[in-house]
Amino acid sequence: VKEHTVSLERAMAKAAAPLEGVVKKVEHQVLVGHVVDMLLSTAVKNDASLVVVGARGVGTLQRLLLGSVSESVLRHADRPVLIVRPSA
Amino acid sequence: MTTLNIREVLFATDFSDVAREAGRTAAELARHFGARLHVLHVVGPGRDPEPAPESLARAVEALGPGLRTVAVTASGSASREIAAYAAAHSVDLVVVGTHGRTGVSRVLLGSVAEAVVRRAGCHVLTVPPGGLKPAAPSSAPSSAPPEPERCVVCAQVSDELICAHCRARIRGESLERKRAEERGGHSLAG
Repeated sequence: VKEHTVSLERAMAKAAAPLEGVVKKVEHQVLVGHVVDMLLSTAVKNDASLVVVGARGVGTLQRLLLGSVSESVLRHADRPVLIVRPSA
Repeated sequence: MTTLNIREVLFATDFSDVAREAGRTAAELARHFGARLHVLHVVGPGRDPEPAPESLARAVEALGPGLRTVAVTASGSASREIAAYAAAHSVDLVVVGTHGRTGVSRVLLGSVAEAVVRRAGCHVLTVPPGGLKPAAPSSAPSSAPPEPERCVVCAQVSDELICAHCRARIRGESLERKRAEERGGHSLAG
């Protein structure tokens, strides 16, 4: 797990790099646990004003199958959730 | 990297308090992006969507000044009409209110907001009571008094951020438990 986390941290740093300068401050972290639990508790801990998640897929069928993570987050979050669709 | 280009914002309202909260957020975003704000109210299927009710005009007025708004009504299934309108008018972002963390939420959210998320081809922002601000308990109706530590999902008193029950539910374990209970029930009845 530790090795994997390290490589994920590196990937996260890479993913966050383009955001530097665009927004005031970027923090990234890799957490180990249940995805929705972790997202929601991180949002609460950091008093996030907004949770942003991607919706999976653009096709008609995929559109009906909203990612299970996005859906759970949307259902359980106590704060605004932005579901981002890939641009058509 | 693509930029978020928001020109048309759609705010769907049923004139509830929750919708009003979402409307405030929608208006703020529309102002921020200089976008046009469509305010849509959907009436039940078979009902005449014209003339637009007075409450729609009031809802638009409540959004405040400095906005380009379009008020519209439609009739039919709320989520279907919202998604259809969004597609027809190249809406970039749909804003809908959700009922937050109260027990009823899942039923109501399940009916409209979630269906909108499924149907709409654009970005969707769901706004629970409290709006796009660091949690403001004053605007959340009585359901979540701040005193004891509460589960962020069900608002029941709990030491953990997400109580064990909700965590189990989120993970889908409740389904298994329900099945087990049903089996138990049958054997008791039988």
